[in-house]
Amino acid sequence: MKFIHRVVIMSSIGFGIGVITGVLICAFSATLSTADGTLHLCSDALIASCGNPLTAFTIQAFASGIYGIIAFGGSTVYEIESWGLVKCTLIHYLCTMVFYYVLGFSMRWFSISHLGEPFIMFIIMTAIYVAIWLANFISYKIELEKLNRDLEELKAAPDIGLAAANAHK
Amino acid sequence: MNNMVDIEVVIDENFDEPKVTILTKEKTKQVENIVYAIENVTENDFPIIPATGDEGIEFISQRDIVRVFTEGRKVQLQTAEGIYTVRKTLTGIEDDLNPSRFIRISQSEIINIYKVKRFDINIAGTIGVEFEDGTKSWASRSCVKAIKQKLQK
Repeated sequence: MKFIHRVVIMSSIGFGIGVITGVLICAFSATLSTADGTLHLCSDALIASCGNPLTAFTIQAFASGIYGIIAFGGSTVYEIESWGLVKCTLIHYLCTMVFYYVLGFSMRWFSISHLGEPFIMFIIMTAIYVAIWLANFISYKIELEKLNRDLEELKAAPDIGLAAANAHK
Repeated sequence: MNNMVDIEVVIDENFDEPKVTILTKEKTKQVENIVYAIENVTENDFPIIPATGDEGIEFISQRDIVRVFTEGRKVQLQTAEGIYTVRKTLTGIEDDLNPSRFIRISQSEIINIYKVKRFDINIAGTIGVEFEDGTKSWASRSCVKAIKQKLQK
């Protein structure tokens, strides 16, 4: 499958997952924060700035879908062969983080006056990305060490082609 | 050192194809040369590769190829003696190469596994390939599994 097709497929999946996850998280968070016994789909601040709940909900769902595109579609950077793990992870991290804060402030998930929550998210997201990079790095390191052992065994046999050399093992 | 090799031919109707066994105390240059000679006779299915070098067209034995790679629009072939240009696409030359010796490690490179010294990953997360002659290259992450499977066949 071509790279561009993978990007389109992953972005489409990401949009769907983004909408569903965004709606659920925002509804949960808005309902919890108001705590008046009724279900809220968006924060009051967003509804106030959009004029009515339906517009606010639609904009928020669409924006969450776009975030899903960035996160899932963007994950295809890992398939760019010539890029190292650090570059892939860093680019994906920057894309998701920048868009998360643009979205977060414009959707009124957090405000300039309360920066504690976005800061905690920054720490959590950064830790997750470092963990992803580290897990990938260690996994490849172990895999390549095994590969080098197999290579040494192969080369210990006469240079007569892989199939014949493996038959000697 | 005695350079003569004791050759024994055993006629056995149980063998449809000739089987060559070399009995030796250690793997010496002489043993390698014998293997090389036998291989050149038996590997007729995998042709020598015509390639253009500084001194015109040369015919390269597959055993001597370190790697074949694309640079710009050219397909180049590297041996211990130098770099040559091949008038074929990478996929075209891949069809000519012995699959039990050569492995594709990225979209732009095929390597002779016997010429590889080691694989490693650097801190930037790029998988490096170091060859016996000191040449360095990189492999795509998606090819690691395929290389491993090929080595374990």
